[in-house]
Amino acid sequence: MALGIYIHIPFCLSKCPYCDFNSIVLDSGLAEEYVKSLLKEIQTFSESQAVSMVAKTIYFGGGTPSILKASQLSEILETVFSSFEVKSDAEISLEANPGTLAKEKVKKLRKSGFNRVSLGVQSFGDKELKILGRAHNSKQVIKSYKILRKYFNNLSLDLIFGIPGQSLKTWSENLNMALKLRPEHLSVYSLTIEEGTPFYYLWKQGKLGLPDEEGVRKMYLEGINLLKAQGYRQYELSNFACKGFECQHNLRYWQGKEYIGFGAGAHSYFQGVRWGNIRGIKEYVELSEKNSLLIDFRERLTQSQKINEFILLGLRMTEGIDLKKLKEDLNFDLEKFKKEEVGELIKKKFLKKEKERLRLSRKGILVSDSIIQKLVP
Amino acid sequence: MDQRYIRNFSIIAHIDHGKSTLADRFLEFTHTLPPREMREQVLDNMDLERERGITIKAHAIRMDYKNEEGNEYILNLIDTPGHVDFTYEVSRSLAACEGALLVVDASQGVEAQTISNLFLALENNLAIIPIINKIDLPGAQIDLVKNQLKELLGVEEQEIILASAKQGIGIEKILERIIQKIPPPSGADTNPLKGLIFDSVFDQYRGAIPYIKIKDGSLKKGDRIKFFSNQKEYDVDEVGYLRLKLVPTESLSVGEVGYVIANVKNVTDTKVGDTITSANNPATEPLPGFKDIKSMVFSGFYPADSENYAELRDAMDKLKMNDASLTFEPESSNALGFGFRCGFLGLLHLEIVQERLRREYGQPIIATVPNVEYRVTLKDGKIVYIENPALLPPTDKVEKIEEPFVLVQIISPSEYIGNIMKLVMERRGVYKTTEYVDKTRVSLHFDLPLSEIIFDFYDKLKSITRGYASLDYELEDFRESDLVKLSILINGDPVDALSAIVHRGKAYFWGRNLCQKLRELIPRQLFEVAIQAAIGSKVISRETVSPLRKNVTAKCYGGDITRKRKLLERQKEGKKRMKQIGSVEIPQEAFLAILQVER
Repeated sequence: MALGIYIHIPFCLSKCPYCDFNSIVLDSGLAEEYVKSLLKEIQTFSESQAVSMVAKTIYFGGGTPSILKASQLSEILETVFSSFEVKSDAEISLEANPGTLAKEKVKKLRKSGFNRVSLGVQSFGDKELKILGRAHNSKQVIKSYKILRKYFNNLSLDLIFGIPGQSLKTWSENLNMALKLRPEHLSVYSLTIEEGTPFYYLWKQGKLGLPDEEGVRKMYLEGINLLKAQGYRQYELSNFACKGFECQHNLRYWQGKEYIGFGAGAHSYFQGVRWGNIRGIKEYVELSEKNSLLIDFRERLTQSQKINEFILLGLRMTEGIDLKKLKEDLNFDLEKFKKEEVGELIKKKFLKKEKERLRLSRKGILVSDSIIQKLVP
Repeated sequence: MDQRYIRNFSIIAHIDHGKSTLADRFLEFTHTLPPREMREQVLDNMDLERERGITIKAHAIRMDYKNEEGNEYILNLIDTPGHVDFTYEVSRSLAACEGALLVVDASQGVEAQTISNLFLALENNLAIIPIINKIDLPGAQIDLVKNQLKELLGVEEQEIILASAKQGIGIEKILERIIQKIPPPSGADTNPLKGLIFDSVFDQYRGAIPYIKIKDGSLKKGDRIKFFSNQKEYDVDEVGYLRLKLVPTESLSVGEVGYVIANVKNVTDTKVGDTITSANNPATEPLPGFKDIKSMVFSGFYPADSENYAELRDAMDKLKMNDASLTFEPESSNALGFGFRCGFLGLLHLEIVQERLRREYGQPIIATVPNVEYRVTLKDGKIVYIENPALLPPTDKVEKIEEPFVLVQIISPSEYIGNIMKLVMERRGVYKTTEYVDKTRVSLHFDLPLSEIIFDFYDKLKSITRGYASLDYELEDFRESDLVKLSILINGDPVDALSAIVHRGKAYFWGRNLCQKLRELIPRQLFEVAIQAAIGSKVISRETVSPLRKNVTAKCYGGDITRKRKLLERQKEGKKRMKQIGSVEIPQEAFLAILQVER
């Protein structure tokens, strides 16, 4: 049985003011205990399964996984290797931040089996990096990238647009800097203001100074255009890749394939059930020590939830959704059930239909949330 | 019961002048209710009444009182609704009495509504006992109010009782005066039965129960009775008197006030003002003054969630059991789906029904802009009455449109005359007369289109007179006006629930304000939304909601699909509450907010 494996490392050098991911500032004592708990969780899960499982992708996300010692990371990876069947062509990704990647460490990581690194650059402008509260500067980005490049032939960069004070010009500069480095993959995210973050409170008080909607829209379009011109194919709303370098792990999420997440707050989808682990990092460790259940919630998807997810996730991908598959697997005839909506959205050029696939047009990509809302039952 | 020992009276007072508190004191003084059943405003038993400090339904309560001379009396207090919407009900309650207490707040003085109710009482030949209440308050202007009452009633100073219901001052004096001054009921036991219905309630096990005053004859269990208005006959199951609860008795004799249970299915058969008589020995004439209730204000009521139509219908049916003045019939709207065109006595009545549907039946609704009834003469001479603006025949078929006019009385300190005149003129009013109530206060009379006062007229009046003015009105007649149908179009589709019949001179102003309000309330959509106001085919105002330019969630939170899906499901749920016009989604607030649009 094929699976994706996700490992959550919830530690960072510092907490960025826009981030609402499950992460805290590194506490090396806690990190050590956390790694122990992770190993235990991985082993316990694999022992509980009757059939052997093939890990097609392994993804270390965070937080900042690269903040752990190379020995810790390879110990976790070793445990995955010994608990699951991992083929030689499996994609094994590590999220990393500039400034956490000394040459020796990178070498060790490559040697222990990682074959893809996603670098959290976010911006090449020091002013913007400061506003975002990032712990690195642009110099460190270039340095880290060069080290990574020596050992890895599959690199991805994360960039954020819509940063407070950002202009279309500084955004284009960022994109061009990134393109100069020729990564195989780029993730381009629009800054979202998440409730409970320091940015949220600033924004509420009107003190954040975000670019306006039209400005952000132009930045997004600029990204799509520039990257396309440079030979990157947009395969998902925020993701661009050279041919053959699409992130296999993330694709599993969008294609409704199975994956198991290990670690605090990690999510899994397996045999029709979604579950999430307890988010608290200390709680996770404590529960693990007591051999207690780590799960915070679980839900068996209903038919209509499956349909919602199929449309929601499928339309994020530029290949769109397979209407025939939707009809056959989930017994939902979108074109019949949402006849007027689909017809109008195609007519107004928000959607395109080719053969049995329905996908967002370029115009549709910009307002995908509204379109998806119209299409779900 | 010997009718010489019966006194039936009502209390006339403006809102907040202390009517309910005075009633509480009477009940205490006469030991009518055991202390554990007493609470403030005990007669106003509807939550809404207690909250708003107004009486919505009539109530009656019987008290036993032994006077100074040691004679035992029965006092029936018939409490009347306290709002201009319910003038007819008030007049019927008063018709059941022989006297009325006129209660005036010592610091506020006489108000318009008090005067209009006083006139109703005088029309019914009631003995009036003037009372100045709240004399203990620091702002009391006892002499001033005394003079007002002297002028108004032509009474001597010593006839005015000074009281404080709150402090219990003057209570016994009032009760004694009731015995002395209010005559016992007339009529004779030996005449054929005439019972005046002044209210009715619905009991789910016993049906509609009319509250009556026996004007002539008597009534007992087993009698066969007949309602004059519809000639329907019933056998009496039970009679009794009212003491918060129903208290059964052997019979009701002439002059008494009580209830009749006769398995009447529906409150529409126990009409206020109707006469109950004996089926076997009927009176030749009914009591005077009966009117079929006429709705003054109409509005479409639609379930907030269109799937709840059946529930709403059940709730309306049940509410109607208790409220004979509510009328409704099914209608449908392109924007709101299936609902009801409802008729009300006035805007307060509308609000009360809406609020009761929500509270007592859990049915939130969308109400369309309230309107009056229009009399439309067609080119072919046919006359139609229009209660729903969407149904107004096309202009080329219409000869003329007439609208109801009311005679309005406003009482206010004279310094605000200018402000009032200005407001009334803005509302197409016609000035009639001014009279001085006393040295500082005037009573102004106007003719006004009803449609101009059902909205925010009263609030405006209050604000331009610092709260001093009071208002009363009664229906006069239908008059021709230059009225047009103002339609609202969303991307070219007319939205029936937003259309209104307005005066041509105001159509532009109203149309523009409405378009602006809608632009604020309609969220941006995938395509541009044009909002237009039009008279016939002529567009008089236009606003545009620009399309959404960007609405894309960049990040998909790793493997946490649940969060994303739940967000989508929540958004979808929110969308379900939107109403669809063509492909445009309109939030419910848009339908509600037009009530607040400046006219």
